Amino acid sequence: MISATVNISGSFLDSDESGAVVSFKKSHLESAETLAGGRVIVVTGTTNDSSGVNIDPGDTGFRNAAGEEVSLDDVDRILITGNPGVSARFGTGAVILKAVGGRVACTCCIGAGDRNVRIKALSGTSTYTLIMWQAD
Amino acid sequence: MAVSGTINVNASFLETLSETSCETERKLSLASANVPASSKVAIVSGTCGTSAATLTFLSPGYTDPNGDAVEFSGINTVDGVAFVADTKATLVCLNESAGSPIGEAGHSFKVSSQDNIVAITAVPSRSGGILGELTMNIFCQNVSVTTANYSLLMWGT
Repeated sequence: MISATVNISGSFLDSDESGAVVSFKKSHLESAETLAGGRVIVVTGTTNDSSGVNIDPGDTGFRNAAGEEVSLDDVDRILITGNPGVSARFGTGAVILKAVGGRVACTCCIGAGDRNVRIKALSGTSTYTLIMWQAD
Repeated sequence: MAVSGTINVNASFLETLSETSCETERKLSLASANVPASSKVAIVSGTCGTSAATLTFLSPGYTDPNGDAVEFSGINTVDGVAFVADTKATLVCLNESAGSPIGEAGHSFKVSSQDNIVAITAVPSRSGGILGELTMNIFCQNVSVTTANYSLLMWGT
């Protein structure tokens, strides 16, 4: 049984000082999601900026708490981080995410056939960690 | 004019296996906390359909506290993007002039959001920036959803 939380927030305060007057404008975006059930895979490694690495969620070798190999046939959420930086895309499709400096990037996956992920370093080589989750 | 901000992502998956007199747990966690060194920020909200709504970096339609329009000269000056939609929608910035595979070069990204879940990506600067990447498209990609309300937060210099 899987229970998960994914919390994301972005908050900016823009201020302008003019004489005795200071004006503020706040921009804020956040979500707090609870995921229940499904299957999850984490893959960690090193990639390069030429061929990169192809992650097939149906065959990563990742094992769950029971020691059983986990296989996904679709992907509903992707989170990725990399250092110094990586890009990720589905198959030969468009780049979907970029993560730099160990910061996390993530997206919902709503397109049909979102499955195999190719991870490439933005330059040279880069470490990466990829989490993929499939709903029940 | 000063901009300060924080970007936080925290994901934690707990997998539990219960057997007789024994419970096994496995935890996967991924988190980052970032204070962007950005001098500009813009947030744009709207409604999109199956035909792409175009958002131009040069004039995203946002004003700062002084009432001045916030402008980004192009994707080269955007450091990151966060996107949220209430149903299902996709935000795309593509280098359409690049060869196959699409988006291999330049600053392309493609993030999707559903049910008010935020998607977020970095937009790192790269050499050889693509001049065509001056706009983003927002549209409903899923066949069962034809309209979505969205908000887009972008920060940069």
